[in-house]
Amino acid sequence: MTDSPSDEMLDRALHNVLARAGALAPRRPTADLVARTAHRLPRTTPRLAARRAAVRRVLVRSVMTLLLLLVAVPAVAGALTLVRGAETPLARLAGVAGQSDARTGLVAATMLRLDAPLTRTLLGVLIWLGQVIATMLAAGFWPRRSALAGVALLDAPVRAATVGMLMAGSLVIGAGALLTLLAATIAGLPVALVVLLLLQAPFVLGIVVVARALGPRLAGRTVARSEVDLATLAAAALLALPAAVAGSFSLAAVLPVLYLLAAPGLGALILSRGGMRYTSRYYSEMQNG
Amino acid sequence: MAEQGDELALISRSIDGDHGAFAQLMERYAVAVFNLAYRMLGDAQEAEDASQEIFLRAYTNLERFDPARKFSTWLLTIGSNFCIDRLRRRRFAWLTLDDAVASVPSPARGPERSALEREERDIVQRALLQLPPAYREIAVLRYWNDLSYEEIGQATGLPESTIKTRLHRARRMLAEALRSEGMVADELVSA
Repeated sequence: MTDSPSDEMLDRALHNVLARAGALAPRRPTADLVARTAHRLPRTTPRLAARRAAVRRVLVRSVMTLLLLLVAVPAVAGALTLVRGAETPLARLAGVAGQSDARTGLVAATMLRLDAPLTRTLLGVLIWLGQVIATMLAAGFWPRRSALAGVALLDAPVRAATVGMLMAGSLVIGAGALLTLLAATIAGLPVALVVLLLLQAPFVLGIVVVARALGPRLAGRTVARSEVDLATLAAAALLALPAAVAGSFSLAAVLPVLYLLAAPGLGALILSRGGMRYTSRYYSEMQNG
Repeated sequence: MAEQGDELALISRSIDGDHGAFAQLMERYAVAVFNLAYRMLGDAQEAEDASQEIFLRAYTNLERFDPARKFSTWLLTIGSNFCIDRLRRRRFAWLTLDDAVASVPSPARGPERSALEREERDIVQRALLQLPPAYREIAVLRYWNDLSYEEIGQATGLPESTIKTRLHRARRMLAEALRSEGMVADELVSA
């Protein structure tokens, strides 16, 4: 197959247009691209590196399959239990026999004591402290990407909030369905607990991103710095207040408050592909630090 | 010829675990690999990350390199496969192409001419990013990496007829996109 004359003409013409616009001129990578890559090269020969990479791939696949089975098997068993209409562990717990004991225990452990002002205050402080520590740990572990996701949030706050709310809703509904299935069998209960804990991870990251966007504003700067600074700590402390206040009145209100606060950050994480993508507006300012 | 012999020597030393030799190979092809990634992915930072991964993959697979082939083509094969994979894995399909282009950092304002050139380059990049990845890959290898049909065939594993068909469509789509921005005449698109 040969190019038709019109193809050749278009080929030449397009080449000329691209060249005239300077679009064919090579774009330079950063000066230290090679040095950074050389630093990441495996400290072995390519042959050994390839073998290790193959072993790693097999290991990762095995672990992923195992984790999937660990969730899927109890979930399927739970679905069958529900379809058959058999009694679930939670139903047994809430049944007449166990109800009085459980209620007595619960009331003693939470409701009555929650009425005490000191307990409420302590609980609020604990929630506040826990959230601040979690936010700072996550920000410290993930400084640059959280800062870039923060930039994405400043760049498109409404869009980030909308995407975040949709994602938060989907996560809660999806996880709710999965938890229902898992909680229908005894074997699924510990897995459900793990899933419940894992569900909080994206929201913690969302809060971190909001803190990274809010921090520089509190410090009177336009954008976040790459490193975690006092401004981030101040923002984390401020962001932990609503959940702490809500928690001192009702434990059930903590998660919805956290989810609402985290939603814009979650959206920004998605829009910036986990903080991997620069957005235009604040890029150069951030580069200049 | 001497350069190719020198390159083969560097490859051979790299296979023995000489990082300095592989760094020299990377120096030679950093711009080509980065540009392939940048044109394919549309984001300078992502292209930097991708370039690193492409070189790491090349190092790990260096023993599989066939000395009868050109090293540059082999490297661009890895690069192009990596970029196609990465584009497939972009899960968030609601992101528009304009977003990807908007993410390219804008430089400080320069003289009028350079501003105009910058604008035209942005238009070209935007038009390129509108192409489906399979067509974009062929167009980038052809126009930006200057590969022949045969070399594109080696890099993509596609027969020459498919390459020509894709390139034909890519050209049309590019020309159409550039025409709508007023960069090429109507006659060129209808030719």
